[in-house]
Amino acid sequence: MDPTRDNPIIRFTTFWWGLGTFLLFALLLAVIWLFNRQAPESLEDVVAKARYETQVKIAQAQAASLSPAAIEAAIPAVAAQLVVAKPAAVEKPEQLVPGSATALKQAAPPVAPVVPAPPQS
Amino acid sequence: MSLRTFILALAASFGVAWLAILVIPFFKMRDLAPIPLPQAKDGASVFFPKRAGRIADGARVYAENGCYLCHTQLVRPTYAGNDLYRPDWGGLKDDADRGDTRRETNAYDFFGETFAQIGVMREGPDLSNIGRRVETLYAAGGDPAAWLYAHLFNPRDNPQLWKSTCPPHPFLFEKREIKGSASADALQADAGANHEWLPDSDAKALVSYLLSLKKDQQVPAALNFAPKKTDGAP
Amino acid sequence: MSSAIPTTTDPDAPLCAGIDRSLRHPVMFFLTSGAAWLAVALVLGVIASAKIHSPGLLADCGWLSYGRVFPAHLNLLVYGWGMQAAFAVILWLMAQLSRKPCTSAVTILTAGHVWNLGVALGVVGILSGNGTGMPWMEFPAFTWPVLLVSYFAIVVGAFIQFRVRAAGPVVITQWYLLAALIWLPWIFLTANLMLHCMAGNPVMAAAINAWYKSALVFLFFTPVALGTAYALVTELTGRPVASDAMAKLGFWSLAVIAPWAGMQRLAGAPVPYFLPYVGAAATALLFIPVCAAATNLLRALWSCRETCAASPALRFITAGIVALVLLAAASVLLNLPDSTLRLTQFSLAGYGFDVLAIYGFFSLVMFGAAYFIVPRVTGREWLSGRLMVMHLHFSLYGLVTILLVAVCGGLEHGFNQENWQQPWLRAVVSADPYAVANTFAWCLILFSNLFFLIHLTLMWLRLGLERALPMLLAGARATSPSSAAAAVPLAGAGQAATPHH
Repeated sequence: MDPTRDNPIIRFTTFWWGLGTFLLFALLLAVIWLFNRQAPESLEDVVAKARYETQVKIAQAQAASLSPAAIEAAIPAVAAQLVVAKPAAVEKPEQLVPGSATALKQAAPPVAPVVPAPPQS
Repeated sequence: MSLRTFILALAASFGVAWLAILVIPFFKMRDLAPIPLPQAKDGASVFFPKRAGRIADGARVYAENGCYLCHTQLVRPTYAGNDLYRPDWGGLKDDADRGDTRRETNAYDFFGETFAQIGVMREGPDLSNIGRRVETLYAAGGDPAAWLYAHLFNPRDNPQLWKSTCPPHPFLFEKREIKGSASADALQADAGANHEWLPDSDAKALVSYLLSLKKDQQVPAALNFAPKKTDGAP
Repeated sequence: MSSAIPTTTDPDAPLCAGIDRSLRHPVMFFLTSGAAWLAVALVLGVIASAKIHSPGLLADCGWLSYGRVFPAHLNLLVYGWGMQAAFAVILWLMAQLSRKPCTSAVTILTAGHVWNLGVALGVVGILSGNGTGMPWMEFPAFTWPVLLVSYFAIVVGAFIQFRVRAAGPVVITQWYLLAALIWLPWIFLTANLMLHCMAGNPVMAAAINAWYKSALVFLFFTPVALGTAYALVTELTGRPVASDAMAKLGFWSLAVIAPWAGMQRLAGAPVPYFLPYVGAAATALLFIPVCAAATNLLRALWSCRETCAASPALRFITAGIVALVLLAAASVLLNLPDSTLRLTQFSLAGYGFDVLAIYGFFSLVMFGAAYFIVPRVTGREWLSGRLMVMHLHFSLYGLVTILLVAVCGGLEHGFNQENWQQPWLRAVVSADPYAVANTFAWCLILFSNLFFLIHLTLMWLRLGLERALPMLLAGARATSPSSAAAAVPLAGAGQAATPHH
């Protein structure tokens, strides 16, 4: 064995050169991929853009016709009106639920107020 | 020739082809520009053949069970094959609403899948439009999913397909005891007394995938290679 | 070793005997485990082929459904048998031609067991319904790094041996084997990284898979078999390569043309228009390197017809080279874009073409190499010429059947598929008789390999004949000692180029 051609150092370096040769195109592919890593915009994303635009338009239109501040301000005023306009309670015998406490009280004979008898002489 | 020269020459001869037919086409086709499909009302939209159904799950079951070995999903343009002449492969020749809807496969057709199951051999028919065929032709008036479940269970149970070489897939179904009334998904096939055959989740995913295969939408002008109607094409 | 061996005066003989001893375990391991996987692959192949014409066969067993059994068969043929036979041959030839013994037998054996584990897990993965659905890459995704790392461990030693080889001219075999060693990880990593680790257009992924299939055949199996054929033909005929220039032309034309081939399977698909047609053109142009190599080899074989008839290795190699020529003819005939490509693209022809490449050419040459190498590394001779002849003949019967099915059946099947006015069922029915013929052919091939397995196992168990004279065929009597006994070094290596005669 000629030591200038075959020695442990040459074998060691050849091992790594060999590994490098095997991996050559994998490394090239990795380098190319690093430059192209960003996932391309999918069709779903493109179509979604149109939907988002429509959503924004709708929100703007709604906000234009009904501003949230105006809604907030109007609530107490409308509430006060509603309270004032509340109709008086009407009681009709046919509105009573049979068997309820109110119905039973009405049905029972009125208890006469106890009037103390005048003293007799 | 030294080892280094040899490896360089090998890398050069391999590398040119590697770049030209693998890497550059692969990276360019990742970034396919969406084709605008002008619609008057909503502003510009793009051609987006979105499919409804369990595409990822179903494609997985399709791949695992080797359907691609006997079925293709490629309708070739007329210069490469006669697929478009068949009345129901690229679409329907006589669709009720749109007339002749046949078209060749385009690069956007496999959206939702990671590997286009172009197919290895054609023992069975092409499946690009199997969803359309089952709904309109085979199971007309009935339940398309039921037709497909019956077909997967045992293709030769269908008298019109008595010579089919499609393998039976009973392992995609499970036999269960009938409790109460029979399930709506149950197959017609005999399961013995008081038992019924029901599709398992793999079968449901696969059928959902197959029913989503309707690649006959209208395409934008850039992808439309159909001859003009005045030519009287078949 | 037997006595009364006529001694050789070649000073390198003890070195070569030492190299053979150092390689005994790795080479025998790869040949025997490869042959075992071959047997399993062939059984699965018979079942798969039977299911095309009799789908009801064994229908209840999910593990044996056609969609799983066929990929299992094909992947075992490629990764279980094909790769391991290639490893055995690469290890032995590179060591012998570099005149360096193998110093990493333990590493190689461990890596070989890991490879077997990877293949076993892969096959179980496919049959249990976890295949990836990518043709020729159906092993579950976790197996490819396992196979890759064991590959490095197995072959890096051969790369180092070439670098530190003994002084002298380099023969064509070494270039072919070195190139195959280097091409395989390039191809394997490109395909696996792009398909498993990078997201891209699904149709382009299918195109890369189609390229991988063709590149594996023409940039790994073909150069390994060609290199082996060159080595054994020059050794056994005693003549040098007929034309060095043609040998170089054959090699470099393969290196330049073959990486472009493969995408013709996607003709008509929505990929860049030139890809499938460049693939078809490159596949057809492969007849150049094939014819260059075949002419060289067949000329040497033709001039030594008697030796050829008597030597089992040469008979197998001749059959393999004829199969290679037929493969080249088929790659022209089946890929003409305007006529036959549209017919054969999705017909029975594709499978027949693959089988012709892997079994017809590659495996027959590997069998020849096995019949040559095993006696040298085990120090025993083969037991029976008749077993070898049975192996060869039944393999050839099966192969011829498959070739006829691929060409005639494929074209008829394709013609009926293209006949759009007929209902589809007619095309299905027309393929049936050819499918039956295929099953019959696989049965013949399985039968032939039973002889090989039995024979090889006996040799592995050191039950071969202890004798000096080689086992020859056709009634020839061996008068000169076998290479095994005399350990005559492989011709052409480490010697000055001999003048042509």
